Amino acid sequence: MSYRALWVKWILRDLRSRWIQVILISFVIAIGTGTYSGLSSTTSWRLKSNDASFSKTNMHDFKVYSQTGNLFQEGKIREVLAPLVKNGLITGIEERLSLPTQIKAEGINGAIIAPGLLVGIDKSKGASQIDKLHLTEGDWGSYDTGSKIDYAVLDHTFAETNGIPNSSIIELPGNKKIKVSGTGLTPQHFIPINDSGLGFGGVFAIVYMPLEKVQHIRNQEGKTSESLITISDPENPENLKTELKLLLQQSFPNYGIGIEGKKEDRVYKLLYEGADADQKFYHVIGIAILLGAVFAAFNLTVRVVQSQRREIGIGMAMGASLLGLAARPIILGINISILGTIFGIFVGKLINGAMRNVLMQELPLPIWLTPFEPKYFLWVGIGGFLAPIIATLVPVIFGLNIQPVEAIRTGHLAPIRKGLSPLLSRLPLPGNTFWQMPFRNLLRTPRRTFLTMLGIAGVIGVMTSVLGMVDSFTLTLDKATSESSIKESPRIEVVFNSFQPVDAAIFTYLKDKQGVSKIQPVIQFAGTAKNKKANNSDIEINLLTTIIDFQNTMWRPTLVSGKYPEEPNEILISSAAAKSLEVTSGDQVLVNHPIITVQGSPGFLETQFTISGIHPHPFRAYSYMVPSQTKKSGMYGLAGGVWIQTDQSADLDNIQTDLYSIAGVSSVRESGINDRAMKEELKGQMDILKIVQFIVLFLALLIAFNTASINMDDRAREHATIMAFGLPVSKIMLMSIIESATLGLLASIAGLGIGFLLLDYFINTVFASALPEIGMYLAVSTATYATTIILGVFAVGIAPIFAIRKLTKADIPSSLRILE
Amino acid sequence: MALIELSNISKIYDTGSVTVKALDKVTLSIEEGEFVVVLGPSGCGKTTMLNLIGALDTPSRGTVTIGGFDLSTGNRSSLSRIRRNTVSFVFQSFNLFPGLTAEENVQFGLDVSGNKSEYTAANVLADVGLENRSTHFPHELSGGEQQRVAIARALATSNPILLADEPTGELDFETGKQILKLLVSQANMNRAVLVVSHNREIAQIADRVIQLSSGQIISDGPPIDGKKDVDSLRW
Ligand SMILES: Nc1ncnc2c1ncn2[C@@H]1O[C@H](COP(=O)(O)OP(=O)(O)O)[C@@H](O)[C@H]1O
Ligand SMILES: [Mg+2]
Repeated sequence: MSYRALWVKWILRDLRSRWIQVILISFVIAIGTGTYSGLSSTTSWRLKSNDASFSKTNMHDFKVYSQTGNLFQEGKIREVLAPLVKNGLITGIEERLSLPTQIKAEGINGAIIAPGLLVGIDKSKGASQIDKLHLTEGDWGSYDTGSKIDYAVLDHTFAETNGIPNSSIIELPGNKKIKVSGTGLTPQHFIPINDSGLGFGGVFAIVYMPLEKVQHIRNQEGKTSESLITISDPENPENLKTELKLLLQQSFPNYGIGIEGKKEDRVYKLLYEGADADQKFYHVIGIAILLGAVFAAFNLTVRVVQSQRREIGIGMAMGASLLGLAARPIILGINISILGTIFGIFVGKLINGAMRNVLMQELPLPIWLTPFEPKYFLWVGIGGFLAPIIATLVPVIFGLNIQPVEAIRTGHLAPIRKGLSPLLSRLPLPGNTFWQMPFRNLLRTPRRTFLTMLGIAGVIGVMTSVLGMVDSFTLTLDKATSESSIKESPRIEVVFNSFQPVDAAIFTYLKDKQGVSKIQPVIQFAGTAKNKKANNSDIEINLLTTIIDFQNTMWRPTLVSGKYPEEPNEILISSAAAKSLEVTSGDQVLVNHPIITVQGSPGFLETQFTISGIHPHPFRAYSYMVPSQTKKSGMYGLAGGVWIQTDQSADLDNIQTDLYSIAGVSSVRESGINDRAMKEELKGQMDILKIVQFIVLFLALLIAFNTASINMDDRAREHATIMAFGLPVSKIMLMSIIESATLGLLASIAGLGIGFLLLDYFINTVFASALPEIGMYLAVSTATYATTIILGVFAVGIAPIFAIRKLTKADIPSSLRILE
Repeated sequence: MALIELSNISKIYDTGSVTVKALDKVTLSIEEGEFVVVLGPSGCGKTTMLNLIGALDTPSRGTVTIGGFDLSTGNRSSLSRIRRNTVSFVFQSFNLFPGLTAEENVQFGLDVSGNKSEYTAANVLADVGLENRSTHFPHELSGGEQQRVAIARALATSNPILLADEPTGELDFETGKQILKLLVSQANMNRAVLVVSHNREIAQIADRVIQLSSGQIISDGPPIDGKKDVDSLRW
């Protein structure tokens, strides 16, 4: 047999005896690289899908509307802008009438009453050309001559979440029955959003109807609320925007003309910013898993190769070529690399599939583009490919660097070198020698123990952070619900179309209404706030301010610090707002808030406010002022809405429906509805977390099993000796379990630390930018601590059991024969 | 019934291309207090025989009975009990625990057999002349020292059967004599001591010499020139 043939045979023999380990290690790598690429692809998918969806529906470049809520006469804006159409700067104008509404429907889980938006779309040209309706099912309905019924297309998410089938009947205020002829989406409502700026999928209903139908139903014949405009040069909209504003302000004084660019659209922003935030989130999770996996694979490969160190020493002693000596381990490494890459693509595709499902569920865009993104696999794939090869080189180089005599003498079983090991291995431990062995084994190779532990700890850390995220979501939701609810019965919040004097008849009417126990007139308006200190002035947050009497007997926010506002120009803000603005009780903020001028026309004014106190509701925008503030803002004696507390026995749904039929009422909702929206929003995140949790648990098990399996191989001779002395397999297994569980315990503790750091980053950095309107509370529950420790100890601890065959099938005499 | 009974034992290794008859119809019985030396060239089946007596391996044919217990009827746990409380091994290849110090390796013997005598691991280590190596790890010991630790570990169990595979192989003359004295004294304490060797000199101190060749017993009886004292050995 030639020299070369011998090496080849030897290498093949290596692979045959190691194939399970080779496969398992490559799987560890695959989970790392696959998860990373699978998770990372989603950002690119979302961006591509956003682009495609907005372009397919021909999203507007500008939306013209009245900040004061005035309606326009149909065709008027078109008339004013005609010159710009003529010179080609504007390529399209389409008018819409969007009005707040309430809908009642029969879903699979019973009756639903939800706030929403009734959107009238101009179909005079056959179909809309701008912000086109993308039908996911059905059509606009066919109006036979003389048919009494009207048709509507219902928001896709709302229909799907609540299980409202096509051709069911929904009811709008005023007993207006409408048949659902289809479901669909328009770009402004890809994610249904209300004033809180939150995704309201399933809680907020968008109802699309032909423009003239909406005008008719709502008695607004010939009126529109907004105009959608497309332009010839969408890349440079700024100059045209200024021009438009001037032009329209002249034609519509007192309308408070607002022109919103495409990029300012809340849904547009949410979709692109969300993709960005996801990017950060998935990157960190993906990288943590990747690092944990590659690191673990590296360690495992090193260990597999280390068992050949003695042979390398012997080979060196006999003068074998370095290349020949290195070839065996390196080829083993290459095998792991190749399999790891193949499995990695497979795992990546699997995770892609899971993420695709979750995304499509959570974000029903008209177009989803979810191709396999090789670029995300490329770099990590290369890393994952190189890691095992480098891992095989390390012990080889080590092996080649030491004196052959050392390599031969030491063997792989006692790699005691310098540093801590001699000290640690002499650490006095209590108990029998065989109960000491697990700990001795861990202590005699402290570096290996540490590295193994670190790999598992990284993975456990990801799991802890994921569990902690769920804890934090839960705590945040709890804070919200406990803050919003009144103990005895829910509060109904009614918003009027326009301000009403507080002595108006409607208040007396409501007070005397059956089932109503208390009412409280309120004013609620949107504004913004920024820190008064110049250096922070770039941070500006949205406010949703309510003016209430803090001495009222119905409800008031609780205080976490400071006191309730007592004077005008004092404001109570949320702790999230305080955090964003970097302010605390007693500090000054600049609030941009609406006022009603003497002439009766609304406008905005920036005023300096003192923060009197802070409340705990997670919605950053929620803020409160005293009634005397109205004197300063021209709203004295007015109310924009009313809160109603019902009798305990009252039928809430009926009261809500009744309220809707009152003229001048624009919306009616239960006080906790925003919390429900928040729950929906967070639920989507939790679905993804579940995928991650599963991957991570599996990875931890895999690493633990690999470690245990390699340990079993390494200690075959030791175990055979123990068995020769009559210790039963069960006891050896127990020793191995103790060793593994100890490792698991250490890894869990380190994992908790890593997990906490990750969680802090996710909550305070990633979520803070992804969902700025929600002030997330950070929490790690006792259950999470316990789960992490128990799972770490248990999962890692039981790993040797899976390698029990190595013990029961051990050939004791053969193991003992080998001289080392 | 004798302490150790081998009846019609064969051990056949089948490696595919070659079949090796490591032991061929061996019948043998050994009593308590007997000091037996098994002689034979390398590869004749000595280690195989010890492994069978030590319940580490099972014969292809025949039965092994230890202390009246037929090993072929034993399950895993009863075999473990035999190894724990009846036999102790000095392996040809030492098989010390690399993670335990010399003294701890000996302590392991005490612990595992549940030996509750006054004799400590340090005492046993002193018996083999290694009192000042007690904190050394196996890789810090010479081959001979490792061998002595292995012997001390086996002695520490105080089990009635002591199996020693080439226990003097690595030892110089003086140390070897010291170890042999120790082994003889074990037999005097009514243990059955089986020492495997290829060294004919050692056979002179035995109660009984068994010669193996190609897996068969070719002679069995007292040393030809009569039993000698350890001190009179030369090699
Ligand atoms: N596991 C095995 N597979 C095949 N042959 C073996 C095995 N173990 C031992 N042998 C063979 O059995 C014979 C006896 O071995 P052994 O009892 O170790 O001899 P020794 O008398 O030198 O101790 C030898 O020829 C050896 O090659
Ligand atoms: Mg032998």
